[in-house]
Amino acid sequence: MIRFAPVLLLLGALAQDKPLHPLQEALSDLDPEGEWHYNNPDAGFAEAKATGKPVLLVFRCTP
Amino acid sequence: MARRGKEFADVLEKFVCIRIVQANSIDLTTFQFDPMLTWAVFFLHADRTVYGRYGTRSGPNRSGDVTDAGFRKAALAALELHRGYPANRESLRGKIGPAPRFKTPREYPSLAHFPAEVDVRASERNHPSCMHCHDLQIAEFNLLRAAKEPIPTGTLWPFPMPDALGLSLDPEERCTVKRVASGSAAEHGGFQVGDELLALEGQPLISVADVQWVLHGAKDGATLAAKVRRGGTEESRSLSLPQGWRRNGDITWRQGTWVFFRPDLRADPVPAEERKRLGLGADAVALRIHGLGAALEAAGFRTGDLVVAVAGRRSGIDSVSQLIEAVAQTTRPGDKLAVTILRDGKELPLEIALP
Repeated sequence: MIRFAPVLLLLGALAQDKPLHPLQEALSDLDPEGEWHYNNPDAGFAEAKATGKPVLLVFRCTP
Repeated sequence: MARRGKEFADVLEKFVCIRIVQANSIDLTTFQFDPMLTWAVFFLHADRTVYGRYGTRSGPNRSGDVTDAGFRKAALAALELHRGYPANRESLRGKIGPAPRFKTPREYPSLAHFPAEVDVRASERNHPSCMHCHDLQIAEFNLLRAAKEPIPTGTLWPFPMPDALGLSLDPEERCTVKRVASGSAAEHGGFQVGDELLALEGQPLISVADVQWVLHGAKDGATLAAKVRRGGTEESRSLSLPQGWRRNGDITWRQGTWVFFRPDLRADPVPAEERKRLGLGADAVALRIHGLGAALEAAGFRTGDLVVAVAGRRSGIDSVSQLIEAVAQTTRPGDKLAVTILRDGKELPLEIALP
């Protein structure tokens, strides 16, 4: 496990560096579970096409 | 869900997840759902074929309509449909409805002032540039009123709960019958507690919202084909929709109806014995007022009054929802609604100023 620690740390750092969507930031969804596309269904459907995954699309106002 | 989604991590990772926070530019052809939902989910293929819906709201404060367990089961059922795609494509065709009046909300004249996109810096609650889903229903009502067109019953009572047919489904399950009302359409159709509804009109069901979707598009008098699983065996059933079945539902909490009638009258039909004692027929209007807003009090109404006539009608109105229907169908904005009440044994004519 210790051998992989630097790699995990690097992955963690990369994850931290991933830019937040401005809306994600505005909603304080700073640590959501899963990868979310905010207000951009076209990007989400394109990713679904590329990955073969189905889409889960949520309509939810700002809380 | 994204923020408290740890318990759904194993499910969410199997999907590409999209969150939409306002209705300004949504595709109304694909995304037809109850506009009064505060949280609505679609499960789809990348080609925008809809696998199913999740999200139900049967009243103003019915948080129990959606549950973690119900959502998880719906998501897993959607994944099952995804695995079966495209072989099951034909059964999914009905999941998208007929072409809507407009392809996007901003084509409604009353919504044209909204921008195509909301400035994310203005994402706070109730920002004026943020179109809410319920604005769609208000826009539809305003459009019909402006055109002096009648309001279709299905538009007034959208996405009906199956309870209107005596069929109550368990929100903790995918689509399992929890109660069957005595003498109801569901009982006549042979449904039983514990039945698992698998399909309705050929559409596979993953949630209560999917049942509401089929009912939303169903016509009065239609007979719907159902497939149920009972004790491990699949069986065919049918559900006949009596005339006026939607009118059993409650629309008073739906903000769109406030276009016609302000939500400041609470009244319930009096029991049969009381009607008899008062000399009123079984189908007579007889709504006992138990709650009033200030405007109605100022108009002379009192708690305890019995409404016995609305716009000259003395029958066929058995709830405040049905009163709103009468208003929507027969009045114009700013009209005075004639209401007769019975107080201390005497009839008294009063008026309600409509919005």
